[in-house]
This record gives sequence, structure tokens and C-alpha cells, in this order.
Amino acid sequence: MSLEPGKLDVNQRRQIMTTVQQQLAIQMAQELLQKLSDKCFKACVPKPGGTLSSSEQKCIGQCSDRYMEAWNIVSRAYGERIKREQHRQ
Amino acid sequence: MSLASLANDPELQKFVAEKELENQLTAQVHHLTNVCFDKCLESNGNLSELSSRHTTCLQNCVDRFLDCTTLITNRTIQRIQQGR
Repeated sequence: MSLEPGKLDVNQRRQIMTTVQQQLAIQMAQELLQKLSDKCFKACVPKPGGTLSSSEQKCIGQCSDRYMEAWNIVSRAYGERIKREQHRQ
Repeated sequence: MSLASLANDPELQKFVAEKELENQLTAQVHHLTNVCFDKCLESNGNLSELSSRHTTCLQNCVDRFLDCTTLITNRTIQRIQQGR
């Protein structure tokens, strides 16, 4: 499909970029899920029983919502910090 | 499509470099959230919402952690320069 041996054409390049983008998105989602599970299991299930009780389930739901909100707050604060550092230079 | 064509494509290289940078920044946000969630929300699961106190704590946590990293980096560089 290549126009020239050793050169990528537009479609090939776009295809590679899309694949890379998707893989990074999947990676980030996996990492987030892992962190969420770790944190909220620790916070909400101190003594694992035979099932997850309804209060444990509610706690896990709230915990993951709060964690996502915290993530957004941290992300914004981090971005602003970087901007401040750039202006200083 | 050979590996050589992948390696020699400047637009692709630029794209990959940008994505790597983005990835580093995102990883840092993950790490900061990990640390600051514990510090500011005390690993509390039973919050129905984040108060303004929680928000301020998270923001301060980010800045103080980065200050801490800067301090340690500078101190370490000093040590290396002094040959200790």
C-alpha cells in the first residue's frame, strides 16, 4: 500500500496514530480502575464477608464517585501549577 | 509497512513524543490523586460529596507535594555536586 518503499502514506500514519491513541486510552482506564478498586476496597470493606453488603456497595459507589471528583480537582490544580511554573521561566 | 518506515516518519515521531509527554503528565495526576485522596479524605468512602475544605486540601496537597519534590531534587543535586 505504500507509495514509496520505506515511507508511510497518509492512511497508514493515521491508522497508527489512532491505534496508539486507543491503546493509551485503554491503559489509562485500566490504571484508573485499578486505583479505584484498591482505594475503595480498603476504605469500604475492612472485613471481607461472604458477600458485599448493601452498605458496603453504597460506600464503594460513593467512594469511586469522590475519587473521580478528586482526580479532576488534582488534574486542574496540577495543570495550573505547570502554567505558573512556565510563566516564571 | 516496515519498522524502518515507522522509525523514519517525522510526523509519527512527533506524535509519539507528544503522547509520551501526555502520558507522563497523566501518570503524575494518578500518583498525586493516589497520595492526596488518602491525606485529604482520609481514605473515607462514606462521603456523599466533597466539601470546599476537601477541595482546598486537595489543591494544597498537589502544590505541597510538588514543592517537596523540588526540594528533594535540589538537595540531591547539591549532594552529587559536592561529591558526597
